[in-house]
Amino acid sequence: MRMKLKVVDTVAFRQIVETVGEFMDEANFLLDNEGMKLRGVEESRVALLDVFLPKAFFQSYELDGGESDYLTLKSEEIGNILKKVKKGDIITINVDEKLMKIELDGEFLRTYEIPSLKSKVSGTPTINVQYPFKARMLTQSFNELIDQFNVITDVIELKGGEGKLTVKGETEMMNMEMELSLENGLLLECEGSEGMGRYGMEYLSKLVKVSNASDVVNIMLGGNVPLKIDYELAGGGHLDIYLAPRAD
Amino acid sequence: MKFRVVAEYFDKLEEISSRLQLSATLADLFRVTEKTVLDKVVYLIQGKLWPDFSGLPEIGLGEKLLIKAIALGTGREEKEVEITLRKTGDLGEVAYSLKGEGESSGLLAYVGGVEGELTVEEVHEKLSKVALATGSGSRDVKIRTMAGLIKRATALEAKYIVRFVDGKLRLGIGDATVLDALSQAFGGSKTEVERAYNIRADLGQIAKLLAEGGPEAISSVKVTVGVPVRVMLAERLADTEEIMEKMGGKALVDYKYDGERAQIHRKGEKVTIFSRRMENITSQYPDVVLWTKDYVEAEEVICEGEIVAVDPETGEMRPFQELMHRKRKNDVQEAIAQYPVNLFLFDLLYLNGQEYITKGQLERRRKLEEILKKGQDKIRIAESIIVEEKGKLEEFFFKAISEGAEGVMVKSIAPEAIYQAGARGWLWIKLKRDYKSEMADTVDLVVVGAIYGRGKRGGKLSSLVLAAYDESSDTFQTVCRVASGFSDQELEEMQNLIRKYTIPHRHPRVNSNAEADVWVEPALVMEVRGAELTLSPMHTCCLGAYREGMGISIRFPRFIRWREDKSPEDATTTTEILEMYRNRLKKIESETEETV
Repeated sequence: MRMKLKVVDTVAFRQIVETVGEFMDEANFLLDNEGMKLRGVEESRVALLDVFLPKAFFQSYELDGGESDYLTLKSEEIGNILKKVKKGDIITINVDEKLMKIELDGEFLRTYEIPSLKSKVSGTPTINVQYPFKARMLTQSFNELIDQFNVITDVIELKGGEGKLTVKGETEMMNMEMELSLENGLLLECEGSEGMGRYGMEYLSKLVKVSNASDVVNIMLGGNVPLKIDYELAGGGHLDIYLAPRAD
Repeated sequence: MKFRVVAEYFDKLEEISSRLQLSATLADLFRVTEKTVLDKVVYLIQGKLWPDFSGLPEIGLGEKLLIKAIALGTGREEKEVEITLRKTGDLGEVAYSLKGEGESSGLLAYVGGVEGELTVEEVHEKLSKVALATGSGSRDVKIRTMAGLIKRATALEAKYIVRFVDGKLRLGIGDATVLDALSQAFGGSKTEVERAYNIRADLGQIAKLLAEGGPEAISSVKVTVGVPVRVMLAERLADTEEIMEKMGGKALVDYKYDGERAQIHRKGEKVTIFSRRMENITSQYPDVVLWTKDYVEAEEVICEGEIVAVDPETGEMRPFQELMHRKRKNDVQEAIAQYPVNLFLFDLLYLNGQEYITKGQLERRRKLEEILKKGQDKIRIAESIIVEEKGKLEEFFFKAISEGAEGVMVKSIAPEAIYQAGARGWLWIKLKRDYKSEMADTVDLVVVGAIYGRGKRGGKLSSLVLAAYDESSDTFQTVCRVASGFSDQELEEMQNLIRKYTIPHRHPRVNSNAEADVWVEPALVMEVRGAELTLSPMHTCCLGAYREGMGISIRFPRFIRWREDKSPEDATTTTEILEMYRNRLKKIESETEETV
């Protein structure tokens, strides 16, 4: 195992890694000729993550002999290092059989060395759901939506159709509703027929960290099927989350 | 092995009320269990992930977090879980009913996972992950891991997984039933299996050994340093004559210290301390670990003793509660300084490759004395004597109590008096103080002597001999020694105060058996609170009034304040002390009758 990655958009990289860390305490990225990939179900089996950072996301992307291999990141460990990242820093990750060396180069150079990890990867989950409804919006708008509901309720109901996305939340004391549509300008695109589902805020609220890594997010709904949230990343990459619906 | 099988057996076991049927069904479960995971199944039945002595943490998921995990695992809202819990009162049932009602379509249906495919190994591995998660994100890891398990489990599996984590498995199976079932399932007499368990207190290991190697493997089990031996227990008698009879007229008598029983294992530089319940308590006593390395002269040893809290200034024993303070402290070093201890050894179970549990009591004691380094006062051999008549036994008993012990342990010294691991028998009989009376009020006592302190209080008069006033003889009779309750400032001031009244010999109006470094004229009165009143041969207060040869003393006295307003003759009288003792005894007796 020998690989070298260089990232210039360090804040975006940090946010992506941190978001993955919100769901997984150990993340196994597959590095191949297309880029850096991760697909896995988190421990409670409520969310599935599908992340793709294409080669173009990196300033430099080198695999020894061009062979694909896994890179295991311990979320807490890597999170602690990346916390120190500042805008304008450049991250270089050098991995060999024994060590993972992370360099943060900016105002001054910081080097971290941690033992290389190679976890057992047992099959990649696949998911196949048809989504009749899709809405496209600014990540900022979606974050605002999550923020608004997070202080009120644990579960939200998402209902899509007729050019709008309606979000409802309720507690014993109050009901809350928010409408995002092409008309009020909160949706950039909206297509397809009806879709609906109820989802836990606990998981949705973990997503707000992606804000600087992605400008646009796609929300996909079906008939009480897992919600798909697709963050578009630079260079044609994506960070997708499938979230299991709550029971009635 | 599928966890489903275990859950189905748990379900059967829960319905059984007959002990015989319980062990027969459990034996069935053991027979169908793959040998490689038998230890894990046994631990799960015991409600554990690993034996207590391993020192590994317990699962540590409180009800709130468990509710969260059930909500996530069943795709419900926490509120719904809480409402169902209020109806059933059992989180296991809650998980069962919520899973049974058809849960959320979840992700499993989309990513190809199936319920009921959990194996025993996976369940154990995930639960271990929950137990071992530490650090800032551990709460989340615990909840998510638990939720994932519930999601993948069938309703019945989820019920028992949740109950296990909640610490309420409700199978009604004790260690004895497991031992019974093991011998039914794999052969070997119950006595043999029990013997093995008593000297290697790891039921999972014993089960695996028996399943894999049969009865021969079990009979070869030996005492092992690092694995606790189940402790020998004593019967209890109140009548000293009966005790001497049971002992065949001669016995070894040890102080029964009011501390924490400890089984200490040493292999080279590694020392492990196990509690009476075989929990690993090494981390609470780094001082004892150090002393064991320094003062117990053996490469490999298992010995038993009592860890007792002591007063740092006087070296006197302190009550058991003081040890509890030590346990509650997060900072062990601070706890060591604040609540120092001594270790009193009383038995030897193993030494340098040789088992001692099968040797007689006196041989064990002699060897124990041999390997303990002299010229130190941190680890001592329990105070003991050999008695041949009940009078001596009683005298020693009251001496023990007056020095802060709970009573005495009378031990058979017959040749067959081996260390009976895990058994309660007549080879050891405890005689505890029944002649005690808890003190409700404070008393005012007169200072008649003083003793220099040690350590931080070295060179300072820090322990005072106190006396009550006897009106009939117009004398002062000693009742206790007080060394606690003084602030540093009070202690300083006390030095001058005492010196004002120092006299070169015991005052003629003072009747005392107790010794003092400095004698004091009866002039100063102080208010004192004690834990209880007890009979004592050491003090002259009420000597012979309640029992021949015995006075009454105050245990664990603490200074409250000086009573300058009182003259020595205004102090609490010996008659009042006797009344207090009698009244409280009556109250204890009537309370006992009521509870009977």
